[in-house]
Amino acid sequence: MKRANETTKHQKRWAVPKSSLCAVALALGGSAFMASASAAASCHPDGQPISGEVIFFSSGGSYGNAIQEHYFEPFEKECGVKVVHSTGSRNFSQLQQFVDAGNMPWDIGATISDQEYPLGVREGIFHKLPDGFWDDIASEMVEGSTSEYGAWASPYSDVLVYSTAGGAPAMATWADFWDTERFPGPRMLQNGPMSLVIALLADGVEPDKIYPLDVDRAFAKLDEIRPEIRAFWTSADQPVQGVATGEFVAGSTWNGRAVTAMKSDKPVAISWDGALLHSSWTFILKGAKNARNAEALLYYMQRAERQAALANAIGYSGGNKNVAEMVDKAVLDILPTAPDHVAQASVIDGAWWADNIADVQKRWDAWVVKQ
Amino acid sequence: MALITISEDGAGSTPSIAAASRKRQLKRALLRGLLLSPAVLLVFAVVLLPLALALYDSLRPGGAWSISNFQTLLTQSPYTIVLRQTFEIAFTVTAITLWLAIPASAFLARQSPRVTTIVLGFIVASLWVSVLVKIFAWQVILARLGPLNALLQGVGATERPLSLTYTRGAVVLSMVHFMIPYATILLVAAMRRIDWDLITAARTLGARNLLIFREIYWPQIRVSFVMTFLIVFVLTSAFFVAPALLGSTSEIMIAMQMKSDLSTQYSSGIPAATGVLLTICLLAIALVALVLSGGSFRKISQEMTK
Repeated sequence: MKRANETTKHQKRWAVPKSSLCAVALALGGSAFMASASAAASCHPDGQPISGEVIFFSSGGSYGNAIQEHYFEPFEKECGVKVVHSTGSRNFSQLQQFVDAGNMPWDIGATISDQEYPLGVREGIFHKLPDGFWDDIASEMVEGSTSEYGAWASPYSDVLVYSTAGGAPAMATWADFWDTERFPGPRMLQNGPMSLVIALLADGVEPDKIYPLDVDRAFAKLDEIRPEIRAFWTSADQPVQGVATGEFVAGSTWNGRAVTAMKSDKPVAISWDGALLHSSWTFILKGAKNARNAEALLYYMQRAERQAALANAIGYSGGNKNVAEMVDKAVLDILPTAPDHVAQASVIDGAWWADNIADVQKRWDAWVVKQ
Repeated sequence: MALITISEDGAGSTPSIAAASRKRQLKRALLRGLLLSPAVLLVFAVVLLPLALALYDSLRPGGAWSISNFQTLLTQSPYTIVLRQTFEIAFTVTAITLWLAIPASAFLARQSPRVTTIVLGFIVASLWVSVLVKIFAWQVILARLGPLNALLQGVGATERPLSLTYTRGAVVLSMVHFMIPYATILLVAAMRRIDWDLITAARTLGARNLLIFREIYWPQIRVSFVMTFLIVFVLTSAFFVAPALLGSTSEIMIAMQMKSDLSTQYSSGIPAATGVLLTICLLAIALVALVLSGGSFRKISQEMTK
């Protein structure tokens, strides 16, 4: 009864003439996909029909609402598979327990830390995609944004945020962050070992030559700036608010938080030079009940026009290069995955961190409380 | 009381009445057990069981029995520093909270019941404001461009804005602000039970204030005072939000360290040991406090149930 109700509601909501849908989709530039869209059966790259449902897990919030609107609802409409969106919090060991027990509350979700993806691959808890899964769209995707176990979800960056109050000169690089003569004043870094990467970038290491990370050199460089770091943040809002209210002259923060402050006309600006691009991946759990539907959804989420819609909505997108041509210039300026930004970024090496985080974190914790 | 009366009634009566009374007694015992069982089960499931599991986890690093986790906690940085900072902050906050709450509570407890009830109502209502909101409010108030700095500059107390956030002072201030309602509610409840006739009697007999306080006032609130101290201390030593959002590295507290360990070490040994150690420390402090307050657990519990 409940299901029947849902179906009626669902049909009513999408009771729009098919031709107008096609027109909209064409206008969004997705013409290559229209053949499959009109024949709802072949959203899966193998062309075989799909049906039923798929359960996607996310942490919810404004990001959850945005993927619901720009990924799941159009997917339901075009592909005829219902997406159940389950939200909450989780950790890595829960994933292992799900797979070990063979009982998964959901099929597909995204990683929540840099280490999770390589760890999951290593522990064998991700569903392996069929051979040649990405072949048809490989040319559209940023290099390294797809693999046999998933694709980029919505990577974010640690960026340099600085104050523009009173006509303060613009900072461009992490070396400027270390330059206390040209830019005097208190600063803020994250209370976490990602700050080591920032130290190496400031020390002149090329963004693509960070790994294997020289921990000793990074700590030596951090010692130089330590007297100017008045506090280390635990929440990415702290540096943004601190810089906006004149507490600090500069800090590191997540791009999304900084952009929110810039939009509300706070005296802050960011630099993408030496941004730390965090790898966030969409994956399917091994043995997931609706694995084929999940594959279809994963594939669908890589469409340029869907990612562009998401980018326009919340400033995050995925690994499709064509997004750059579909979004406004203003959106492209704040997109961590914009080709220009990726080119200047140091991509976080999740595998290196998975191997080393435990030791490096211990050393970091001891360093950070040293008086 | 009722049970005893019934069994006394039963004694000496006909066997069938005695049997009926025994049956009734059994029924009451069953009912009492049934009513108590949810509470007992809850305490077992959410307090004792997790503590036992944590103890097991903390003593089995790498799958073998060892106390190495505890050695790490007690000898290595950052744990030694973080533990010291935790107790420093907790003691400071508790002391200031009680110092501010005691006179206020004593004053409030002497007002008419109506006034006390209304003021306590406001204090309880302040607890509806989430701790996070309170901390964010302090972030704004204490900011360099915030109202407090504007005021200080306005009255000429300082020339340039002071850096007030990310300091020990900011953390202590926000935690005291959060704890005062709890302390006040507990202390007012205790102080309202004080028998003032005793004090009047002492005064008519010529006792001085200090003596009255020591011999009559203090014994009546002693237990509640210790309980308030312990509750404030336990809550502050487990605080997370204030040191995380208003503190610098000198304000990293044990809960922050546990969160960091849990999310990066992929093993629960150290965090479990931290939890066990914290429990032991707090139990020890509770014991010391109760003994210092002048009575064994038994006396105190008797006093409390009076």
